[in-house]
Amino acid sequence: MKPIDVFYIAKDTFRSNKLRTFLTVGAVVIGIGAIVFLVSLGRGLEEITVKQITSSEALRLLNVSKGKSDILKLDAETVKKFKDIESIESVSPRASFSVQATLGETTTESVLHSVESKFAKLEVNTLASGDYFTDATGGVVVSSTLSKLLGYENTSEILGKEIGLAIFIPVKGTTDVVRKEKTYTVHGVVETEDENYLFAPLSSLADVEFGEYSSVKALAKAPELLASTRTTIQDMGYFVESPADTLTEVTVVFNVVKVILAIFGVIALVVASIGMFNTLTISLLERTRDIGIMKSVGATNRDVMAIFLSEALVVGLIGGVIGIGAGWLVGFLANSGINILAERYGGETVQLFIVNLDLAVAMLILSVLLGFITGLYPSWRASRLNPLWALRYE
Amino acid sequence: MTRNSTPVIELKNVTKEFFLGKNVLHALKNIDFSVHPGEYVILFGPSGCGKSTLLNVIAGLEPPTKGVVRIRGEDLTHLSMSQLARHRREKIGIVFQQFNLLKTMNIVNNVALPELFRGVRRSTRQHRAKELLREVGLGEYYSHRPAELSGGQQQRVAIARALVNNPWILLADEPTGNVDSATAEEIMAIFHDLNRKSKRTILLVTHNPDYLHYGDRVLYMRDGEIIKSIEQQRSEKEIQDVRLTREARKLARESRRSELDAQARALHINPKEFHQEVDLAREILMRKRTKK
Ligand SMILES: Nc1ncnc2c1ncn2[C@@H]1O[C@H](COP(=O)(O)OP(=O)(O)OP(=O)(O)O)[C@@H](O)[C@H]1O
Ligand SMILES: [Mg+2]
Repeated sequence: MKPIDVFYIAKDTFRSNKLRTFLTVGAVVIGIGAIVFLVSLGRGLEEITVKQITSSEALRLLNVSKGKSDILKLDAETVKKFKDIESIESVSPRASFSVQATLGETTTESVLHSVESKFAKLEVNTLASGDYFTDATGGVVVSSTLSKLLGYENTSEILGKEIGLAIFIPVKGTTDVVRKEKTYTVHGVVETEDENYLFAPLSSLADVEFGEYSSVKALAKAPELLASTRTTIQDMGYFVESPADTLTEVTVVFNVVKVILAIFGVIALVVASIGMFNTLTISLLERTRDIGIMKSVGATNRDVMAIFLSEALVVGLIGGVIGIGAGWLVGFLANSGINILAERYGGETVQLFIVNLDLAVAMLILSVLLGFITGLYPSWRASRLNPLWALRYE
Repeated sequence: MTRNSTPVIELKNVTKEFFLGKNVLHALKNIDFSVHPGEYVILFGPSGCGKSTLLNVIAGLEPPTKGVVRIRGEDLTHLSMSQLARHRREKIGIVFQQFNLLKTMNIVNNVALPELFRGVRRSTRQHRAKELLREVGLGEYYSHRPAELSGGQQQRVAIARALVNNPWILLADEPTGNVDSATAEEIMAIFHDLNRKSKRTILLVTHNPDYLHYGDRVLYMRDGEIIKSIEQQRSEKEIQDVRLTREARKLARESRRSELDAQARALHINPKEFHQEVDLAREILMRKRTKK
């Protein structure tokens, strides 16, 4: 028998019993479709969360501080040392001071973080309104908490207002403090729960003599270099944190979620396999006479096995393709629905279901494998039938 | 006949036993016979005497309990399952009483099925199948499925299938058992031509004594044994004569029927009942005569 002939036989079989074919393929479609739907949901949820807690730069970022050490210094010289580390792309020091902020009649205590303008985006969280400062524009970004303390509940109204700052600068090598007054324009507002702070460019404090930075952010050249860079800095005695730490925890949580979703999927698949096995076995009974006929005109056991097994494989393949399509389609429709709602109510658009190529390929392999495994026993049984017994079967 | 040639089929001491619980059923008891090339052998006997079992042993579908079954010198009892499958698809053609066609396939593919298992290309085997279907008079039915044909047509498809791989031997197990008598006559004529014109060796099972005159030899079977082997000369004329006689008799029977109908009408009796009464009376008379 030529391999291609099994497909001619399968074609005739499928065409002449459409209901049975529909039921067998349907079982696979449901199983595979369910897995695709659930896994793509897991992936979508993970992606959304990861996006929310971090930008891609966060995967390269290290927060360096002195920790509890009294001996270490975190000054201009240290920053230069960090910059010299091979795997580090850039270093952004941060100097923090206590300030008194005054806007019109209102004065309140706050904390000023001064950072290099080019790292403003990295340092400051997403803005609720306004814009980041640059070296050219100057100005500050205030937290919404501070904005409220200064009498502006509506954060967009504080934009463009002038804030007077009394900055308390520690004198190098002493416990003394120098008071310095400056005025800034509010450029942006960052949404906070109850954190009271404001950000200003380091360049605006060029005339200020201060001893040490409060912390330093170092950006590794690539996410893969993060761990080694971290070790290098830690070996110098500094305390290092990374937003990627929380990211790993979140990923772990989502792996668990994915596993749970996958378990549901596997249950669906098991049910589908039982359904498929059942239809294949019934199909075998219905075709007992056919097997007798084929054998009586010279089919070998192997021929019969090949015919039945390839029918199961084809069922698995077709069911898989349709199942992947169906799972994807349901996800796609759900995504579209959510995004139409999101646009209407001004939320962010999201991809709740993500089907990518590796998932599709894995599902395709799984569905063919499903056909193979569920088809193996019925085909083997079929191949072993006694031809005369099969011919007499009614 | 070609008596001196080596036999195509040769059975020696073939025994077949079926084990039904504690009982042993002797379906074949020490069967010995050979069939020579070009011979037309008819196996005749009552139901259950082992005709089908014997045919299945020769087809390689039923392994004998004991004995030797040689087809062209090759002993079937030593063949593996896949070698037996090859024997069926290359050396013999089988026709069954129940036609045994695949419902899912059209008749071209049904005829081509043994060729499929031989690994012949699809276009080649379909071409050959169509040729054979034309030969048995089914040239217009290529794309039909078996269920769309009459019993006689289905049996002709089965004969075409048995011929598709040009087998040495044709085995037929009551090929006329599931068709009406007119069609049966056609089927027997096809086998006759296959033997006469195409020189095929034929082993045909029947329990209808009307067909015995077709064979070169009739093997009478009873209870698993061949009790009698009768050779007969068949001339084409004789066969034609038998056919004509039978047809004449049938015509006579039918004309007698119309006579009876007339009588029934005259007597104001239901013609159908009258036929039955007359038939019964005739049967009783016949039985009395045979007892004497
Ligand atoms: N697979 C089997 N198992 C048990 N007994 C069997 C089997 N096949 C046949 N027999 C028995 O063997 C005997 C011969 O059967 P076989 O079918 O050869 O008869 P036959 O001459 O073909 O009869 P018929 O004219 O009714 O077809 C019968 O008694 C039958 O019951
Ligand atoms: Mg029989």
